[in-house]
Amino acid sequence: MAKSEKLLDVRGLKTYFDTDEGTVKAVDGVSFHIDKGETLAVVGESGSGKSVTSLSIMRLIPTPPGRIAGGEMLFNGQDLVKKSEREMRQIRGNDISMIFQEPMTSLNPVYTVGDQIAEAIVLHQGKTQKQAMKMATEMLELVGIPEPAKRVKNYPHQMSGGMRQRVMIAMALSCGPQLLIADEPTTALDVTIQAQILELMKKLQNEIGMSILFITHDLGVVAEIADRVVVMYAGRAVEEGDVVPIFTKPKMPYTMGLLNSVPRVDKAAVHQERLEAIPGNVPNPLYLPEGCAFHPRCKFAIEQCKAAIPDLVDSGNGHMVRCIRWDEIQKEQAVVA
Amino acid sequence: MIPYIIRRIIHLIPTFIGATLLAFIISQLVPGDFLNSMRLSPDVRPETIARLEQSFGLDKPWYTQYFLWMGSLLRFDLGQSFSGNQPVSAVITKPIINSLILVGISLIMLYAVAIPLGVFSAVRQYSVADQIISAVSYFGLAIPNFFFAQVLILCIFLFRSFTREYFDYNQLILPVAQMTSSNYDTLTAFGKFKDVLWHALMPAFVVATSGIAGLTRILRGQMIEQLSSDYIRTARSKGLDERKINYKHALRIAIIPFVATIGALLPGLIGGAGLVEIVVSWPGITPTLLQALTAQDIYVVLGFLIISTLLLMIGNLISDLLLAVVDPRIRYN
Repeated sequence: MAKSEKLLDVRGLKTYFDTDEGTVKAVDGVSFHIDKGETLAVVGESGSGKSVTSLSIMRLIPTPPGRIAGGEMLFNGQDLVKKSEREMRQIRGNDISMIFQEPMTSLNPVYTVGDQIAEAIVLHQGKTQKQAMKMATEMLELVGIPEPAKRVKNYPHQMSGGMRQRVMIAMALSCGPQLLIADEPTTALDVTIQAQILELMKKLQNEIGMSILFITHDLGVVAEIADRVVVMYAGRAVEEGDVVPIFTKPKMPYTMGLLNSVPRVDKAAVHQERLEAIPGNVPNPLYLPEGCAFHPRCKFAIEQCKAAIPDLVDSGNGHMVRCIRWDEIQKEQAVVA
Repeated sequence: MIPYIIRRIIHLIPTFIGATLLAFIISQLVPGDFLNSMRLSPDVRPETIARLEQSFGLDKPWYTQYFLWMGSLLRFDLGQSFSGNQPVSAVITKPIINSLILVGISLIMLYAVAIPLGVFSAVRQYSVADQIISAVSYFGLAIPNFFFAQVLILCIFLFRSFTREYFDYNQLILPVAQMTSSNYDTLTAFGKFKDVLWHALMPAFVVATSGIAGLTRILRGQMIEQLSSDYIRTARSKGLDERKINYKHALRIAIIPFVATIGALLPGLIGGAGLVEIVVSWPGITPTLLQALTAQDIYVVLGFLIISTLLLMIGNLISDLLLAVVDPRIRYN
């Protein structure tokens, strides 16, 4: 698999919501790309626009109030923004599929899991209901559900959360998608189940060769699964790069804050220090601060930060950062260490 | 499932006995009885009254009357009507069938109109069409049936004046009273059926209005709630089209509470169309029941009550069973 081949190239995506109080710029000019077979993690707090980004790619933003106000999303070279609803329906569930955060409520309670998996197969692959049910059983086996022939006739309420998420994965992968969007798929699960689901996703990615867009706020999960990371804050990408540099040498103060707020076995044991929280809250998307949206919470902020929104600049080796002081901060940090 | 049904049916017996006792006591609370007007008339001799009291059983204490009546119920006999001097079953059968026709047609109208309207309103929430439907719904909920029937009758007559004036057509577009035309007896079986249907159209619509309005509102709410749920997002992400999403996924769940109330409609079916029957002179339950009530012909009144009670109990059972059919999360063990 050629690593450099871009499967999805999102350029300057803007998704706005028109509310009574004004326009909420939930996603404001986000660019990133996913190579074939790669896993890209989009990380951010609640309200940073990461879920809206994923729904925008699926063109599932409820319109109105939402709308894609600009940018392009090239999927295999074709712009998803320009596709008609009809064309999008052929892509959804077939070329791009999605799993969600809430496995408990994401399945329709009145149909069996087999029916719900088979629905997509019948729709996209033109199989008969009978063939599709057989394939659904195979999919359940693939995602590691014991006794798939029996389980396929179960209703969602007869399954645990972890099982249901496996069913969701089976459904998403039933048509062999090129891109799987996973919107916090492990957030609602127990830690042990989380690990199993991540393991399963990695295994299936190797088998099927799809790309994964992984949306999460859980940095532990990112380290586990991602090749590259995009950090989002207030609707914009603030840092982007390969997973190891981001974790070891974060350059944007927000990313540093995120990493410092997570307990780490190596650090805590050596320094015995308390976890550091990022002061303040995510800004109200209706009233974003002037300039860099993070400056009111940033301990490195200077007067200049309020002047203009910083550009996303390459700090070397494709490690992108949106901070006018990244260079200085890096030197300061080096002195402190 | 089968043991559950048997258990439920056994539970029905004490409920039924309680209901009959209550109904009988309430009927006894009204002062006087069927013979009151005779007692007040100087033309009727006391011996005649005493003889009638004896033959109707009105000379016995109320609990004796109750047990005698219960005894006849067990033999599937609803007792005697005082005024007609015939069995209650003969008095009430015809009105029940007539009401059944009227209410049956109005129920078909109810579901045929309310379900598509409710889904449409929900899918196009806040659109102009949705707001018009909402406004008309409130009107339908607020207007009393008997008054609406009179308004429609007036409209039909006004329309005739209009067609007479401009089109020289001097007929009512819809019949406004009675259940049959004057030439009913000469019609063929199919002609009779059409004639009754034709007469039922306007009153059935009147009876259905408040139901349509209410059901549309509730279904709209249910649908909106379902349409914003996670599994609908999943269905969209699968690539399903809107029609499938609305009808196969959302409506299938939004409709569950209505399936649960279908059983409760059963007694309503024979409950009759209320005052509308009086306004349009429909020979249904309401006129007969009112007559029996004013005459204190208690066994006729109780006869209607017994049939309604039975249907209510059976209806509730059917509801619970249907609920298990439409909602796999519910299982009776």
